[in-house]
Amino acid sequence: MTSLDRALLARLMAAMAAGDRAALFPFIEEFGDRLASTVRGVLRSLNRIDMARNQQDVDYLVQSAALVIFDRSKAWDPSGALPWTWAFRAIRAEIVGWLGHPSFELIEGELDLRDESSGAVNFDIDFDDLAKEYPLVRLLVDGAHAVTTPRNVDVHLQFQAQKGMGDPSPANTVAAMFDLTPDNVRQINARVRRRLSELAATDPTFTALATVAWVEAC
Amino acid sequence: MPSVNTPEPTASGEGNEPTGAVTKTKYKTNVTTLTERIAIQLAADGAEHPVAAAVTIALRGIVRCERDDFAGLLEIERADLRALEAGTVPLADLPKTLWTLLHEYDLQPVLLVDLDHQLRGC
Repeated sequence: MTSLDRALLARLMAAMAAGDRAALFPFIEEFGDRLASTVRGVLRSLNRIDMARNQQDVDYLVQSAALVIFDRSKAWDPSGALPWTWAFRAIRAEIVGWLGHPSFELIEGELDLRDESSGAVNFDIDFDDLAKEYPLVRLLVDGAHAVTTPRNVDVHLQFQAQKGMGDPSPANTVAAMFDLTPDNVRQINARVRRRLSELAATDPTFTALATVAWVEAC
Repeated sequence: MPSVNTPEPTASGEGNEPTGAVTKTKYKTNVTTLTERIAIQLAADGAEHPVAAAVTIALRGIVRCERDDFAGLLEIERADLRALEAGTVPLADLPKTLWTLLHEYDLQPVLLVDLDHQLRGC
């Protein structure tokens, strides 16, 4: 993979934010390999290895990913995450929709955090949203932010979410989301788990975190 | 708006680089499919001639020109280019220079004309 031309990326994103669909063509030509990596990661996480190996399907979904980014380009911050990382959940939802695959991506099965009175089914995982509803998720998010950087919080939570959903290779999926290597993801996850475990043991505010399976097991 | 099937993933024209290939650090996508998808969006936005507009937008993007430069390249007025991109000009009335570019950059005219007919309910 070639090094990324951030100035060109910012220019093309600005053109898309201004509503210029012509920018989609150079955007895909320049960054299609990154989009393809993201698309393949999602397909693999959904166990659609057949499609991940099919260049035509991947190309079609690369275009879909670019169109998803185009639709959201006004909200993109050039100093923040790369567009395909920033829009990962929307890209994943687009792919899932195209596959016609049911996406029951709940994590309460692992965490046992669900409020029985709710009954709502979430189709994508937004920990900030979940935190509003579930105090233990709030505690988990706060605890993670207390022990590491915001990027690593996202890496850790997405890793555990993917793992909880049965992703056979969560490190690969999350690596594609954050432009990291799978080894980096595993290291970050292990480090955050260890720190959360220490936090639960030493800070009374976070004692309840010991009931979270992956914190307790650390 | 008439109902139109979303384009299916297809390979690029025979003899071309396969879609999804990365050549010399550039990613090669199926530009006809992307143009069709843009045309369908423009049709949903109410453009009268969405395929003509999408072709014009696509070619400007492919050759990476700002509007002024692209109008110069096509040897047309900037206002005429705006009209083309706004979808007020029929596909059959595209400037000859655009048709030349269309062939040069692997856009498949038969598929685009067919989509034009579908979108305009012909």
